[in-house]
Amino acid sequence: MSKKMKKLMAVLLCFAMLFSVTSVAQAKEDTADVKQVSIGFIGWGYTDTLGAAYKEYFDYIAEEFGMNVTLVAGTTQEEHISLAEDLIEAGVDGILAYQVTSPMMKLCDEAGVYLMQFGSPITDEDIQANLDGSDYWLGTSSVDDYKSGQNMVEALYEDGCRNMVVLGVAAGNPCHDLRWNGIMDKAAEYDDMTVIGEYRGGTAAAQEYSDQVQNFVAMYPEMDSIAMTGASSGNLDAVLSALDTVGMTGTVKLATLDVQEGTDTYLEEGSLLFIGGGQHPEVIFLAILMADIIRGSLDMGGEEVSLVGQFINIVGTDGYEEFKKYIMDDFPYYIEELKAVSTSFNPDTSYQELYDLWNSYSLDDVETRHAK
Amino acid sequence: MEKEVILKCTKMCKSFGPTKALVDVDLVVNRGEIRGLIGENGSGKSTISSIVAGVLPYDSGNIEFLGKPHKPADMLEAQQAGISMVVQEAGTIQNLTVMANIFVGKEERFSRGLFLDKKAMKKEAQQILDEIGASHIRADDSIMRYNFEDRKLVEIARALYEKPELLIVDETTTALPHKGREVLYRLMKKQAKENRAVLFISHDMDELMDNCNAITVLRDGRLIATLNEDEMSIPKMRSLMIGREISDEYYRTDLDGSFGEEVVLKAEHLSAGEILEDFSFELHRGEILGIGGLSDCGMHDLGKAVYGAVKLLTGKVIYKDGTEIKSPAAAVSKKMGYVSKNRDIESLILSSSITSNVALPSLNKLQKGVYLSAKDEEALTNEQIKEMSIKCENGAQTVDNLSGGNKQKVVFGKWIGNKAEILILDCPTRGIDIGTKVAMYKLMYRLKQEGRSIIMISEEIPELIGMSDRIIVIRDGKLSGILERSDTLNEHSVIECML
Amino acid sequence: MKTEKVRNFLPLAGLLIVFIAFAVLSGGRNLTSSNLQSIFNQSFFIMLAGICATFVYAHGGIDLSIGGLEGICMLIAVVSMRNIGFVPALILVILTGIVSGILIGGISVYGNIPVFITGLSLQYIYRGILKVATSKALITVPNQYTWLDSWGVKAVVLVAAAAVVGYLFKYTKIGRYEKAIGGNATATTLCGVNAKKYSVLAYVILGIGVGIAGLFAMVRAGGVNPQAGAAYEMDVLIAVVLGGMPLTGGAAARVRCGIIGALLIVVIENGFVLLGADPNLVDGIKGIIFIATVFVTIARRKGQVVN
Repeated sequence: MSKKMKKLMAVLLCFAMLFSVTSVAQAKEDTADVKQVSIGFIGWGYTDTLGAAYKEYFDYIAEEFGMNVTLVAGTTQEEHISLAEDLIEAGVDGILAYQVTSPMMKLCDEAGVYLMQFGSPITDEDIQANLDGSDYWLGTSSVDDYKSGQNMVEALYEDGCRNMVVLGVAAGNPCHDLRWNGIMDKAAEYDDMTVIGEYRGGTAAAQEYSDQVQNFVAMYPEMDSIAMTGASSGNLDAVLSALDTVGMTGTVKLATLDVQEGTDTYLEEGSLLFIGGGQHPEVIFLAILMADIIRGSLDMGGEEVSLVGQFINIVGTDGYEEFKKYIMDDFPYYIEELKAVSTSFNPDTSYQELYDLWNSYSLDDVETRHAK
Repeated sequence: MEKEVILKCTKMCKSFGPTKALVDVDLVVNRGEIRGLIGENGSGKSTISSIVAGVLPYDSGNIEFLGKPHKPADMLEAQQAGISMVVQEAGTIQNLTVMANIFVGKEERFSRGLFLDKKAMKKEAQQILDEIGASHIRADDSIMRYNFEDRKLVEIARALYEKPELLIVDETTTALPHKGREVLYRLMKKQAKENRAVLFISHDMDELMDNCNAITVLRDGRLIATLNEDEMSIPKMRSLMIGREISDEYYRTDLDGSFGEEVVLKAEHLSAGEILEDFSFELHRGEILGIGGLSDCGMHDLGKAVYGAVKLLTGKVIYKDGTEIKSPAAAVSKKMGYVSKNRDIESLILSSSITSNVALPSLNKLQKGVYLSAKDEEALTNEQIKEMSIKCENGAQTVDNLSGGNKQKVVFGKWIGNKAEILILDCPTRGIDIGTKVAMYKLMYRLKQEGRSIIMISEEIPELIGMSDRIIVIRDGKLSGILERSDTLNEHSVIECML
Repeated sequence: MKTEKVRNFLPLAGLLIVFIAFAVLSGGRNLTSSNLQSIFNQSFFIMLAGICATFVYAHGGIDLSIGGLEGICMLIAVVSMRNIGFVPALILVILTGIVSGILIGGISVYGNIPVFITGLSLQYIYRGILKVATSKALITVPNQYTWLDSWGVKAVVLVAAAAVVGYLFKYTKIGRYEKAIGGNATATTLCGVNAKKYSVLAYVILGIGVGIAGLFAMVRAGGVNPQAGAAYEMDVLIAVVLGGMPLTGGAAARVRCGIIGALLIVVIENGFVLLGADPNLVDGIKGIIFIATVFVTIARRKGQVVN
């Protein structure tokens, strides 16, 4: 192929790629009879259990709710700022991010774009002060990561575990940081429980955890439990296989978060003691609220939104069946239920009702509403 | 003996873009012949051998080999037809064993399903190595255990394994030391005796005279003449190559080996590398000091040692003002220059322009304060292009496309441009065409007359005798003798000191 | 020489093609002045490092530690600015950059360790320090320094950097030496150039650039977490390669490579967000566009990206 041809091919290739991209990402037509709202969502990725769940749920409700949701991902704060900039350029009305910073607020404020944080509440005073100064700051939603950390340790302790190893991702991810602190603090409360080893991995790649587990088993024969801040990206399988390889299945108990396929087997075997998850509806509630506020159908009167939600915990084999049926293989909240608490679709409802619906999240709650 | 034709090229033409490398060349080689092929760089000798060996395609013409039409698509096909070639540069593959190198491309002969029959490979490889007289090379060793000469022998084994009807030796002897050359001569004679043929390309006219039955001379892409045994002579070759009469003396014509009294560089008790031991000498103003010896006697290390380019185990090198030369930077600051024996690897930046190469040592001087003008660089380079008659379009041309001779001119230009007073030359005329050689020798003599000093390390004894005021001979890393320029000095006296 | 001119133009052509493509597909969204500002703001850091990295790439080196270095400089900047002031912060990050350059250059060149490895090792060390220092919580920037985040200030810094580096590269022997070392280090040393010294100098210049970038990055991001600066070294590497820099250095190295490549990367990332592309596809498509662009720029160079 001559050089000119090669060049032409390359250019055509680029165009073909770009066209395919846009065909996938076309903004949906105005099907709902409310004003279209455009929301940008800054997450950390959409291939792990939680991220993928977010994406699926947004795909489910976006069109019905008159929302155009653009999903982007980044890990460092510089990336987040760049993404926020780009989203604003793309013309979003509001941004949901998992790590809000002062410069991000400034960007949004200057552009007249609303901002909310999901995953954890604002902990830094300086940032909070800056947020308070802007009309475009709407508030946060969180699930109690800290409490989940505590729950993990509590469950292990009650099962008889005393010598625990803690595994987590590198510091800097707010959800995992809170879980880590919850684990550590709860363990400290028990006099006869010790943290005999810890590892805060860089990437939380499955292989890393697998290797670390084997190391710990070798170093500490008295080890009887592992608390892990998150199990997606193959970590659950990796850690439990590692235990199996060294013959520790059933002897060493694992407590973690992120329910996924295969959990039932592990729970039955006894190697997995406690697992929590299902917290993905959090961002849906937040997005609906944001859309309501943007449309003007909800007036918070300057007050900050502060949604609090629950993890669903499974201890032993209790509850896994239901979890799978109602939460993994189905959406815990259907569109009609959500529309009922959204002021854009049901003018008689209120913020409090939405708050209560989400706050009362539990296995029993979902079962009651969706009993099949 | 009946002259049976083994190779017949008719009206061979080959061009590289606008450059006509071969024009209507009719070449006939007979069985039992060692045919020499000689010509200046750019004469077409490498082109025609590459075409016959399957490395290059030809534009037009005809080749008949063993009576059949010959148009190989690649070297492997040419090999299968019965033509093998050995070249000048390294042709072995680094991380393989000797036997893997010998059978490269032909591994399927030894394959058994998924595996290679290593035992059979080793046996056959060792056999061919023994046959060519290289039994000191073990077939299952990694090729990296062996030096350049031995690796060349492996390449020769590879070429001869197929028992080629025609063996092409393309300037291989240029880079081979004495022993390797002898092996090659012996193999060529064997090839001829077995009624096969050899096409032998070389710059070295003495070796062509000694080994060939006939010599073909090329010039500017055309075949000028084929001299048979009675007609062969060095002056004849020279004149045919250049196209004009050239006097027999192309080294210095004078016998005056005098030089200035001032000692410009002193080496005291140098030990370096693996061989050089306790070596001392003095270099004077206006002197051409030749350094000779067997190829691994340490003379190449000496060149680097005197230039500050290798770590000295003992001793020091002192410049006339008392400064010790400990690094090339120090040497250059004292107006020294070094022309390496490995031109492409150590003397030139092949991917850069002529200007970049020539101006490099002088940049320090050319920069005024914090400003370095490209015009100054160009001016310096253009001066050298003119002085040295470097054949090129302009200074912006990259060096890698230049012929060997022109490349060497760039290297010299670099040092002359920096106004070097002391030049250390290591095999300065290696791989260069005769026209450039003459120019180099003239240049060296002129520099001497200007009062500059030259250390010339060379493996060519005639060159040492022809050009030096004094010759220092090294044997096993130690000084073996100092010979002075005179008309009675001959090769034997030099060789005596070497052995 | 005509082919030289065409070859030099190609990375720029690639950039223009991609930019125009996104302009068409996004309905002109990427041409608004605020979007152009965003592109500038985002590419600033890579451009700055790309410019300062010219000497390193020209001599055939590579610095894999600058991600960690940027993080460390962000940390030093934020701590200084909270407690001492802006000017000391600036001085400290520059010093940090210089020290880092001496470390990676010195250890590699004088210790004879491949610079690839030294860079990775230093990266781990920097990350480790950063992890420990920020493990408790986010460290944030006081409000009074937000003026640093304006594109005007950054433009001044960038132009100044380009001018200084460009001058050193083209009008002093430093640029010639670095290219010569990249072309053939042995021959260059034999010409009397202290190749080791100049190699280290290249890394020091890069370090200074990264230090300054870190200061600005910190103000822009608003805080430092253990991941700060992650993947920076790869972004810079990809940028200069896309911009036409040969990986083994030598005569074809140019200061503009970092600038064009940085813009290219950012235009593509920005474009994808504007188009609302499915995030899981984005990486894959980015990769393909990169390869296509390299293909276009390399076809002319006959494989000179890797000499």
